Amino acid sequence: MKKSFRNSTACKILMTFAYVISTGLAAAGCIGTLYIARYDCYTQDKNEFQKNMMQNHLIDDCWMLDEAFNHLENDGYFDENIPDQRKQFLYQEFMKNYQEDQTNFFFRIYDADDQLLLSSYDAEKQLSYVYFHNDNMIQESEQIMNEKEYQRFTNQFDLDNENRSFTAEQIVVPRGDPAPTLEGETTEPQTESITENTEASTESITEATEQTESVPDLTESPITESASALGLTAKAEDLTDTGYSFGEQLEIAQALSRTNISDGYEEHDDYITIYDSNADNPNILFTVYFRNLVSRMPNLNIFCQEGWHYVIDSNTVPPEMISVSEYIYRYPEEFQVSAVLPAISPTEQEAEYCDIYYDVHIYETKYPVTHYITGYVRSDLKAQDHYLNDATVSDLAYQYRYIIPVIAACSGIVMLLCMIFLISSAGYHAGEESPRGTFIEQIPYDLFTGMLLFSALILFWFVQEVGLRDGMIGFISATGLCMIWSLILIWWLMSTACRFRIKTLLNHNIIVYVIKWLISVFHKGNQKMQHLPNVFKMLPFVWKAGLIAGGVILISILTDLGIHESNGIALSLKILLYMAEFLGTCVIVYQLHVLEQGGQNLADGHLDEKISEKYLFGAFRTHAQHLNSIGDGMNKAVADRLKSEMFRTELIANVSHDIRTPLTSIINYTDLLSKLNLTDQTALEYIQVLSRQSGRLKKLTEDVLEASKATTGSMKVNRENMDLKVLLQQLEGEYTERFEAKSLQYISNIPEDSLPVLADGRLLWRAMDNLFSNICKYAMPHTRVYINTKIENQKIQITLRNISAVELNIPSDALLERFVRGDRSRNTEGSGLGLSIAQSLIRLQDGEMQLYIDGDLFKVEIILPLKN
Amino acid sequence: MAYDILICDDEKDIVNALKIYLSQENYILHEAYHGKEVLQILNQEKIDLLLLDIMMPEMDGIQTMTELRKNYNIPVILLTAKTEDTDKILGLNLGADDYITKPFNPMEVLARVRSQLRRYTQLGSAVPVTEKIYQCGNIQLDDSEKSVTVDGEPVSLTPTEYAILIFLMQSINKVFSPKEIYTAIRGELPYGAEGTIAVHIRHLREKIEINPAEPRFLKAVWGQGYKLEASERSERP
Repeated sequence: MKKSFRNSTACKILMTFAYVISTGLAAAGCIGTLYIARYDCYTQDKNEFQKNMMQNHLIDDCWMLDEAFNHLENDGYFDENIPDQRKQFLYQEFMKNYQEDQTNFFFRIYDADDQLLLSSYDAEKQLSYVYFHNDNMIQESEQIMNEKEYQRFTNQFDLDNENRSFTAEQIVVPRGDPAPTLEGETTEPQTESITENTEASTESITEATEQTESVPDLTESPITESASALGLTAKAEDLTDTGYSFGEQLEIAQALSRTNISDGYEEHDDYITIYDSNADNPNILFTVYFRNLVSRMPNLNIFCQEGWHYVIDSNTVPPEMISVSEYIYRYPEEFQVSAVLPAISPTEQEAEYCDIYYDVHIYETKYPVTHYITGYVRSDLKAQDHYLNDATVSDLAYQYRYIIPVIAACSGIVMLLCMIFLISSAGYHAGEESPRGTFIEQIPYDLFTGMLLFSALILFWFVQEVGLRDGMIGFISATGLCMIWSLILIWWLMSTACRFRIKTLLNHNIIVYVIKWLISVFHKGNQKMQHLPNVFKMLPFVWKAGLIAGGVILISILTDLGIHESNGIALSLKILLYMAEFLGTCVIVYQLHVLEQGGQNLADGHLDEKISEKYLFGAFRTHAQHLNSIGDGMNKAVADRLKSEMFRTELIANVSHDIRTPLTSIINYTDLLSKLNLTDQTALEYIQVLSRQSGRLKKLTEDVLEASKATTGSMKVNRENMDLKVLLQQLEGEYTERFEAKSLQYISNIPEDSLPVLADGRLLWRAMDNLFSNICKYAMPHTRVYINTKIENQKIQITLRNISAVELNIPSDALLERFVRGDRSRNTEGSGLGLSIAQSLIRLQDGEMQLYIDGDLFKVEIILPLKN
Repeated sequence: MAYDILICDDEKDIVNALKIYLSQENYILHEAYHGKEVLQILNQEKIDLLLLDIMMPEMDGIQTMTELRKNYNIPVILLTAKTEDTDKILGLNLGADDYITKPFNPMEVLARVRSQLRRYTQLGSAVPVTEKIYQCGNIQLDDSEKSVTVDGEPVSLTPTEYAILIFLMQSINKVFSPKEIYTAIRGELPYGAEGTIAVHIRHLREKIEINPAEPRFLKAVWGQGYKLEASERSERP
């Protein structure tokens, strides 16, 4: 019963499904819990919670509004010369997005003198409409202030200190920052150093404190409380009296960045911290963030906002600001520190610039503040916008704030149960008693693990890129990520369990194989040579090359790292390595060159030239030995062949000598017979036959010997410069009468100039003689015989053409074979060796001879090298 | 007068055949069947010419010839089945006066025998060579008489053939291209007409050579030209 349950595939699929679903639920629950906990759902009442939820959107809207306002200003809305009509139009355009039915956001914009410039806020309805009045006011940092403005500005800022206090906590909590709060680690050393640095100005600071205490009428006790908890009370007031020149500000900034930030934040190894320098230098802001986060510049604004001060729009820095690099202060590379006066923030470009040089940027205030913005959210949330959405979500979240963790816990338990079942059933299959692995278990365990880990990381990286952030997208992607991760996890666990059951968990690992193999190699090496270096020798060639290359790369990387830390030994090592690489390359190339030459020699037929093994090593030497033995083998084969050919030629020569002696008698006595006074006509005829046939026999013996000598190459060839034209003239002279006797017309197209060729005149003559006598024998009487010459590519081509007397019904290749004659009946004179001999003789002189038969046209083409 | 000719061949049939042919010319014939016999007969008889085979038992033709050349100056014609050029050169260098390959033409043998005998007995160095008389082997040209004799017998040549012969005889052993020969005999540059020289040469060869296919004197150097060659042996008195 239990087994069938365990072995059932359907059950497994079901359980996997349940597992994934419960994981998703658990993950969603956990994330949701964290999310609502982050907005203080459990400690605050519903309204406060909602405010917190809406705050991000409010900030966003303020940015956008500021941008729109800047456009409005640029379009000349505040210019006195602009006609009212135009102003009206601009105003309508500007206000279009802020109608009551469109958004729950509304605003007031003041100028530097606190005059109301623009407002979507109906003053009469103020009390009833303003929902987060004062509390959620957001300051735009875009404005640039003079001292007076700054004073008022910071007063307003003080109003917000309640918010600030929780944002400060917020930085720490969700990121699991090792530093519990800002207060503990950061502000204290900060204040210390500030006092050190600014001792001279302490008096003025305290004076200023007294002065400003009465100024902000909005300051209330809880705000001061939280502010003082952060050590900010005094600092806020300092802003009223700066009294520092820019140079002094710069010095302070440098001092701060040198001491406090590095001291206080070095332990913060993963996230941002905002440095507040209000106390000492009101006009300097520090933005501190880690180098590896700078690449995600869009977040810069949020970081700044979540810190102490202001939302900084990174897109509106005037170009002059880029040129302040002379104030750059070099800083330890772990941080990037930007010190920004409240008006100006670095552009993205500058921030990247900072990233490269790890510098402190300090900008001077140059531009006066023109306006500041107060944003509000309506209390009754009429419009269908994100505030309404926030409110709905927060309502829900608040309502179920205790249920969500419970769901998470329950589904977590379900998930664990499913996991246990799946692990226990891993490897079992329906209808089978014992566990069995699938193709997944064929993959080595460590490789499999690595693959899964890698894919999980890739997935994380991908999701992080796409959107691990607040809001629904972040929520969904995080949940999905958890689900996929859980799938990967259960897959790995199941495979592990299965491997454990079929006992391949430890054995089927690449590392184990490698170790085993190394041990076996080591053993072999031990048995044979008893030395460790022999293990290397025993390795296959490719492995050796791979090991050497890997070693070189490793050393190179190590020395590179060393050089990075300007280590002299590493540098010299690197140089040594380069030299070794150079030498090694040279040596290997030299060896290849030697082998290549040896191969070339073999290919060219110089079999006697051995490759010197003196300067070769390893595989190259073996290769050279192989090549040499190939050469030896070929040499032997060639010698054997030559020997047998010589033997054959000698045999033929001897036989033909031995035939000659009896033949002489036959010919002579036939001749004598013919001279007797024989009257019998028949006898005379017979004698004629004898005479003719013995003549043929004589010719045949001569030709056989000649053919044998010509083809085996035992004929001596003395190639010298000669004039082919002269030879052809001589030939013509020899054959004129024979041609005439057969009524053949000899037509020669030979150029006027001499035709110098490199050939053995005697052999060439014999070849041509054969061809010409062939023509005399086989050409059709009363036809023409043509001879042409043509020079092409340092070669001379001689073409002989004539018309055959008999039908040439054999292919041209066959004619070149020995004992083949144009007429199959073999009635004519000749041995059938003429063409074959001619071809062999031409070949002996590095020439080529080709036959072409086109109907009755018989064509011979001879190609000879020209004299060079 | 009747000359004594010694025929030496291990093949009796060939000896007999040669005897039949040579007896037509009224020579006194002796026969031997190997080299040692030759040397014996030479000791006993006065021999004017020797026809010698090379491949023989007991003592072969080459050995025999080196032996007999120590004491005798008689003309020796090698008569052999060895047709290789190297064999010919070897034989001639060792002192043979002529070389005939088997199977031979009886008429050629007769002519060569006659030629050698005439040179040996009549010509030699006895003929005074004057300015106008040129000699090459058995060929003699008397420019004053405009006559040419081969082995003492007059030969009739056409004017062109005569011009070619005398031109070649003036520089024996030197090779002339057809063009040079043409220019020399005509005194003008040939315009493609030098091809006719080859025909004249062949005619000339047929007149002055015993076997035109294997000329002794007027030789073609293929691809280069022609020369008149006097073999070392023939030069000797």
